[in-house]
Amino acid sequence: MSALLSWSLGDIDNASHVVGTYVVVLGGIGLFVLRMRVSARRSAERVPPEDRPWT
Amino acid sequence: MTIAAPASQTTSSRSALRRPTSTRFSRGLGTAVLAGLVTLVVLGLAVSPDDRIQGDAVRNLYIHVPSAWLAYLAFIVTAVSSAAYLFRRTRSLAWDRIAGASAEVGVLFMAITLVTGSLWGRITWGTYWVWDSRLTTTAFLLVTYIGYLAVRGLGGSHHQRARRSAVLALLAVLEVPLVHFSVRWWRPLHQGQSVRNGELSDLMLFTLFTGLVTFTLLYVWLVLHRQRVLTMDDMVADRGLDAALAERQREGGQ
Repeated sequence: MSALLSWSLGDIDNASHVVGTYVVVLGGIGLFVLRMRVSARRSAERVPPEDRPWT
Repeated sequence: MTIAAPASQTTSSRSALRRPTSTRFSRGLGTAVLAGLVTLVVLGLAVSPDDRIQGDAVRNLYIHVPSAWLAYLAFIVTAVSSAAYLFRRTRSLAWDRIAGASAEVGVLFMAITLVTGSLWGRITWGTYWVWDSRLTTTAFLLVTYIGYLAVRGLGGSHHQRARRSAVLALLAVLEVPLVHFSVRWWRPLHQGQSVRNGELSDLMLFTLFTGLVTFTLLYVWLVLHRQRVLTMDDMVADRGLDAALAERQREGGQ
């Protein structure tokens, strides 16, 4: 897949802005998920699994 | 003497601590979202053709439009959940937590929409920002929902938080149609609808559709996990309050 992408990106005009768009979106999602996981683990230390309605 | 827990129980409690908001359904959904995102990147950057007018800049469409769609969806769900909380028959803090989780996801994707739109604008307009009606109303919508999240963070009981933020959410959602129809009402620099005008090829439409479906699933996954984190946060706060009250009663009894 990376070979396909690098082959394709070589031909893209304004590659930095186009690829930058994808990086911003995926990076933003990644950071949000990371922050959510950290916050979830912190709270989970004080809420036992049997008290969580979804478990 | 220490009694060792059975191996399966230890593994299960470790998993509950490592992935506290995860269930089999959410893991399946997360896998589908990941597959969708990989497909979208490959389709958007490598497979779909360039546009005869915009060239490769059209590739931003597949990720910019779904981001905007997700933000709209998030703000509408926030309003509907808030209305469900305010309605006496369906009043539950679960609605408030869904509203809060949805607004957080909406703010993230509204910010992403503005940044990706700026990058696209730099290519097609030659500038990152213009104060046209679409961009200005979108920025205003983002600031409104940042304010909504700030209001949620003010003190008070869970029900006080839920009541005041629900009222604000019902007012804030009125801005969504203003943003959406701004391209029709004020003829800004921002382009109008491309899909209904038949300006996209079949492969372009398929890529855009993949983006919309993937981002909708991503929204469900994010809100599902986030509202579970908020549920645990509320439980932790309640326990802290209960412990403080018990302490006070003990002090009073002495």
